[in-house]
Amino acid sequence: MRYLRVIYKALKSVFFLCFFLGSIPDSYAQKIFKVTYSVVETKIQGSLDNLDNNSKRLYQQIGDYIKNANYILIANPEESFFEQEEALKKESDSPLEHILSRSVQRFTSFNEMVYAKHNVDSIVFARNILNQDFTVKREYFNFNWILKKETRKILNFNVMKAEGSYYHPVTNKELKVEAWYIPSIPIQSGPDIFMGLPGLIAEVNLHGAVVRVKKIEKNVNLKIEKVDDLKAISQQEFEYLIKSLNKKFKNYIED
Amino acid sequence: MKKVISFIAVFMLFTSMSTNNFVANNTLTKDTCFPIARDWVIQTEGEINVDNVGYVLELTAYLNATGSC
Repeated sequence: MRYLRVIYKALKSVFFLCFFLGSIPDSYAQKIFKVTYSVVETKIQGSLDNLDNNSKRLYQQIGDYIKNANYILIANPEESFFEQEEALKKESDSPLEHILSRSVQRFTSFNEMVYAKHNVDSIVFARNILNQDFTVKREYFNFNWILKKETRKILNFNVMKAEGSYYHPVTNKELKVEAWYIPSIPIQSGPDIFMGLPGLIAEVNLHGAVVRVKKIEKNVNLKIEKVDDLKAISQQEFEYLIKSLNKKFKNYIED
Repeated sequence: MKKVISFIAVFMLFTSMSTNNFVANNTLTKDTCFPIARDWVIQTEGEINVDNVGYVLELTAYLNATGSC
């Protein structure tokens, strides 16, 4: 009887311990990060010398405007949502500000928004092509990340370098990307479609711009926006659409 | 079905842009600012494609409106 009481007490302790541990959510899983990115450098594929003075002045204005262009990532280890900061998305009364905002978008080539589910490696993104909004659901882009040993500091975080490439259906090219990630923040998110590294991406060096983290806020009281993907088309359908339009477009240009 | 409709809508939009009628009547391409906007995009992005052609037209409209050319 005495043994039974001891066993009962032991089981009871185990039960309460399990219950207690079970009721504590994974402390890390509950951490939601708000990450603000900004464009720190724009790249042009040609030469400024080939542009007229008005265009050179526009480039200068874009450079000034870009300092206030922010992108926001809300992320936890399971999912994330990325989009341009609300303040920039709203239609400006000024035609100049509107065209500057659109110009900044062209340099980054970011989507309207990207929602990612990291536990199943799937993303949903929205893109506007020819004034039509398309929502596409697909698996992670395959960047074939190669982790490098190079390190540096960004916002006082130790960051590590990774290099990769990905297929861009619009240009039909394999584009290279360099990323710097923070191993001490084990969230595999990053700006736009760039993710899948063993740490939050702090910087991406893209075809048209360098985008770097500006601020990281932990435990923010924000929800990660869910995206309705019922109307989403698949990546194959999206690529078929792009190829068809590109073909038509090239025929038009050549004619 | 919806994706087919979407595709057709975009295709029709694009087709309408690619007709001679569009080129002849559209002030965006008729005005001198179109080549400037086009050159800007070629210099910055390397090429004109379906992803940036909408921006070319927006930039053209802006340059036209501001009397930049």
